[in-house]
Amino acid sequence: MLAPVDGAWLAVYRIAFGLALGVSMQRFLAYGWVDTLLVSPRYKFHYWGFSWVPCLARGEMHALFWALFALGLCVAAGFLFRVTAPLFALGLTYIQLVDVSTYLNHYYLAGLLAWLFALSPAARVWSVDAWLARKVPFLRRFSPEGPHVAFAWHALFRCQIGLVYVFASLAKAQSDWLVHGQPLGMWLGASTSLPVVGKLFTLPHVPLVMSWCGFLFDATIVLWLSMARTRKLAYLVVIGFHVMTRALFDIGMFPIIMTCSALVFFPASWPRDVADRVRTWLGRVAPLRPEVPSGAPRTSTFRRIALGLGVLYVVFQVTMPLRTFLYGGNVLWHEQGMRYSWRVMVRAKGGATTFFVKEKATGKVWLVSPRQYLTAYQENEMSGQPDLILELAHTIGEDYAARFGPVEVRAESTVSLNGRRGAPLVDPDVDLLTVHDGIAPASWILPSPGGAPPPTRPVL
Amino acid sequence: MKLQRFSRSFLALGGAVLPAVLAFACHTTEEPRPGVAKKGTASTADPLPPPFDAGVVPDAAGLPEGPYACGAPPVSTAPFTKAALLGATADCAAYHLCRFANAAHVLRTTVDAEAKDGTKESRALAQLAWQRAMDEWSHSALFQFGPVADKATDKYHGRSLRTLVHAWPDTSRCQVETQVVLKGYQGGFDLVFPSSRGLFALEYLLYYPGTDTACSASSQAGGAWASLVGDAQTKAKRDYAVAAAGDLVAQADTLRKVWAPDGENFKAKLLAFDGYGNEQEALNVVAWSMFYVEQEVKDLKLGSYAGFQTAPPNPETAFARVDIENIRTNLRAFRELYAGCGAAGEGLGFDDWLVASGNGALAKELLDLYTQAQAAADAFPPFYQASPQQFADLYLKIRPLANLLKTQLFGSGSPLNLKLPASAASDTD
Repeated sequence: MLAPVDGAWLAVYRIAFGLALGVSMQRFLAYGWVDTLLVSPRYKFHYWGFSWVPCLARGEMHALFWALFALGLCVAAGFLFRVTAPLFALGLTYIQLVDVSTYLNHYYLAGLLAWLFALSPAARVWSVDAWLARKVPFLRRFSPEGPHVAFAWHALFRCQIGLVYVFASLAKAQSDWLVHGQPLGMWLGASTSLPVVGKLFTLPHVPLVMSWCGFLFDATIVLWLSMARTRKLAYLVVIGFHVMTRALFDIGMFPIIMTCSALVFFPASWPRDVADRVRTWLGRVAPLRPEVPSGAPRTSTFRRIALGLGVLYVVFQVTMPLRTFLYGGNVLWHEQGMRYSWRVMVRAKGGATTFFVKEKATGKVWLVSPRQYLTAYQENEMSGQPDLILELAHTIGEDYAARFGPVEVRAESTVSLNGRRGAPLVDPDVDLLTVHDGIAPASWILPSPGGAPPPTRPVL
Repeated sequence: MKLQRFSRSFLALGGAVLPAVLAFACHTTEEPRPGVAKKGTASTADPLPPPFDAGVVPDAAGLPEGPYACGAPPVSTAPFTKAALLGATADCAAYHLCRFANAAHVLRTTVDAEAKDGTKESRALAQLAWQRAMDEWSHSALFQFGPVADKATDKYHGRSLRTLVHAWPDTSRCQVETQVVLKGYQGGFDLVFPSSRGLFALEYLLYYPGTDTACSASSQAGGAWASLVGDAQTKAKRDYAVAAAGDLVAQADTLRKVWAPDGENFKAKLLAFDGYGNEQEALNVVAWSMFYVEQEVKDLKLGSYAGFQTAPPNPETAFARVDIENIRTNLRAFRELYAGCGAAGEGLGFDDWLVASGNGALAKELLDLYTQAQAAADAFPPFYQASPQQFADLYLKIRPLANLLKTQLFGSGSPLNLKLPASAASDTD
């Protein structure tokens, strides 16, 4: 694990990641999402244990995104990497902690990768830092040790990306996806105006066939990418798959991040191989490659501890998505164990929630629309996620208690899962002020509705 | 016995004094909208006064015709496609704005006549014309896409023309009176706030018989109002009514031209998704109009009266008191968008899309809930005669329709992939 390998793969990955995330920050600014998602909502949902995280003012938040854009470019360039990469990871993490309703799997992935990069020796090759170290003798004492990195880093990134694909496939191994072609059948209906392929989506069984293709892709692509004989073809499939998902769905930079990330399954020196081929094609002589140190890898207590932490990280990443099995039931419905589990694009949930606030003294009942606290986006996200309903119920309870004295707060939340008829998500008889969020199974969440989702045909 | 006598005397005194106190309070309130309580008071317990009227029954036959031939409601018989649906909704919006333009012209004619002769009969006829214009607008108000919509609703083409016709809920009686007394409108309506023009201004000017002002005495308008008495005040009100009616006609004609083939021809833009980027986004924006039933009708028009919300009521027609008539028309307009533009919901609508995509049960359920809501609204008494319980009942009849829209027609669970407003552009997963 500690054997040195060429660091070229990590350098290219660092450049691609920094650029992709830099673009992502620009998208937030250009589309006004900094305001609509993070600044404008006057109420913010908090992660469990992170209610202390403050929200920046509008100007500060915009400045943060510009700073993260610049930091993304610094990461890509490998400039002051030991400073800029942790700051970049910290900033990405902060953005995610501002409001739970903005949680997306690919934002979570970007945060994890940013921290892995920040801790990794990703600036050893093809970076401004390495260039400066060569030019300025004084800086050599701070410079990386050479163009090699421990194989453990390669293994760690492969594990991280592989787990995303594997758990995404496990999430699809259920009847809605594999038997009924949902929710893909619903989503494809929005793309029937696409040139050429749009009409294909209206053909019978196409959503189901595409569901199976998606499942098989996620379930096996790591295997194909791991085998030398199939790797190149598999990567072409990766490109095709993510280009299509980008065309069909609003999934932002996720396809680009994954397309770049899949390159970690190639040998460590693949960038030099490609460069050599290009040079040969241009009739130039390929430069000498840096020698890989021979002999047993250097070990130290620090390295052993670092290796142990890496193993712990992988164990954590494996167990987090599996935790939902401790809860039982349908995770797509009760959402316990849903986050951080790579259940990507498998549930379509719509809901309407109304809070009933009852004054204990008079029995007077107020109907509180979530819109009084939330934006439409937040309301839609909250309606399908019971812990967010609970959090808002407590906030509403505090507000009304301050005005009218002791109150009870109940929620009537009707939710449709993958096109099914709406069903109550939380028990309307439970005073939510008596319930507190935690990791224990939530008895106040009602069981998911049974039966198959209705068939939906995309139409022109 | 003494105690009883004292109680009776006290009640009698109270009975005499209370109306006087109420009348005084009514004339000294900052914004004396009939039936509107100040913030924090239990408004639903207060009885609403009846509308002010001219005291005579107008002869509807006396209303002139408008200048435009709008024809019959456009009923599309084409088989369902998304493009056909966009076309059908465009035709329906254009039809109603054409009818509204006619009604605005008629309103201007009657307001002009009332300003000239000042009789009760001409006042009553102008009120009738206003009611027709309001009814036509209650149809059009639901079709909130394209230039008529606010920028927040249709970020691609919205030009907020709606607010120039009827700015409710952001209306201000004091702003109307400011125009009456300071005559700022004579410099052009570009400088006149939306809150003081359009149907709201005309409603106040045609229906409110009082001579008081809602502006504070310390304001410029309030100070000037004190010196505007008798015939001078009446004339100033009529002058502004004539000007406001003229401005309303100009806005109505602008709206009609938005859709006219020889004007902006917005239908062609809609069919080409011009500015929207793609067909689905154009359909999203059109479909968001259906949320008028939830936000405006259920929450703003009924929620506070029903006693379910802490905000004070903000009636749409504080002087003419045709709020329930407007709600009935809003609901019919919902059916026209959802089911089809025909008088009984014939034609292409979003229900046809649901049926074509295999969700016929949902299409029927939505229509059934609409029918229940419409029946409840049709049976509802005028607002000033309704009890809080009746308001609550109507609210709870409309709520299931609004909830089903949010649960299954829109949002992440929509079988038509219709996104919720303000969420269309964000990433997912």
